[in-house]
Amino acid sequence: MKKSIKQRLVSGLLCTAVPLCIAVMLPGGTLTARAEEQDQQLTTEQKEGATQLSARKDASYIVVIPRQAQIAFDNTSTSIGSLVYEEGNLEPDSYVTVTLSNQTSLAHTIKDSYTIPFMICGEDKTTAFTSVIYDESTKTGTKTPLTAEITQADWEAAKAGSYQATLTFQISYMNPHEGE
Amino acid sequence: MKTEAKKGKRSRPAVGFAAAILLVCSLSMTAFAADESTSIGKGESEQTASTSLSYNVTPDYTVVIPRAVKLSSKDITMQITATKINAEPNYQVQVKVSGGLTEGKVKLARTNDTGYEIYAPLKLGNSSIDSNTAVAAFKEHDTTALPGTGTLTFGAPADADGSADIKAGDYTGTVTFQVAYTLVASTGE
Repeated sequence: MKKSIKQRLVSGLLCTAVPLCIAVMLPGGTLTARAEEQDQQLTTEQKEGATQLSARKDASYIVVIPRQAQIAFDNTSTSIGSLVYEEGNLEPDSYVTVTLSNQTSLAHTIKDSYTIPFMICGEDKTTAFTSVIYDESTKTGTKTPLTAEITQADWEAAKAGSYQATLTFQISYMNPHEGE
Repeated sequence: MKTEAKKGKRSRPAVGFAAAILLVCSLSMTAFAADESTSIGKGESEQTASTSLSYNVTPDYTVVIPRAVKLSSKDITMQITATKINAEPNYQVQVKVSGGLTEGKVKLARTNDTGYEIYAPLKLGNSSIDSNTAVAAFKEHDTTALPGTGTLTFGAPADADGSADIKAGDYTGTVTFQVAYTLVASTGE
């Protein structure tokens, strides 16, 4: 990695701030209870009857997102942590989508017009990360590594100072059978 | 009845014939009377007779079961009640589980994933039940279930391995009840 000859006062404290770890767990772990509904009568004419049984277990999941990450100076590829599918109990055919819904510029903390272009990528470090899906088949503990990619040219053009960016991840749950 | 009578003289064959007919009729009537009534003639030694009256009341009952029950991670009870019971003294109106019960448990299948099933124990008091268990019993004219019957308890469902950590989703199942008018021992209960 070619370093710029220009002395940089970049202290190496290039931070990408992401929102606080987002742990989302839908109300789960309990089965709802409800009193009996309409009754039916068994008589000399109608000797048999059926009672319909039902139960429900709510879906739940926990996705962990890195709280913050630090990019080392002059690194063209820096791991910023992983999205982790820590827990999940999903309904049939349902899935959780984690989307990078917004990323701010990596901007100088004093002069915000100074920015360093960067791209958040997945494990392959070349494709821009947009979203990942976890479904019923996803094993708990599954990780989705993320990296911050900055070209060497952009490093060399960067002005000295501290820079900061914020990544926002949005989590959504989809049950295609809802309402059926 | 044909008679041929000459003036002043009765025809013997005609009278005999008529008497025979009368006798047949009376015999018939007597036979008929023996089935439906008792004839008491003047001069008979026994001048009293009895008439028996009988009336059959058909047993009747209305037992009520819930149409639907929603299970829970906690025990859920279900009542079987009666709004009408009219049973003979040596009989009971009994309700038994006729379907949906296997080894004391009811089965529920996961919606949109019917290959995955959960099982909830069904008990009468603290006892497991089977198809021979009278889960509700009523006698004579009492709409209150006999002691120890009438209240069923569904336990928390678990998967086939017995784990309460079941998959998320909706589940449905059915349990069928049958009522029977049953002769019981003379001791009654």
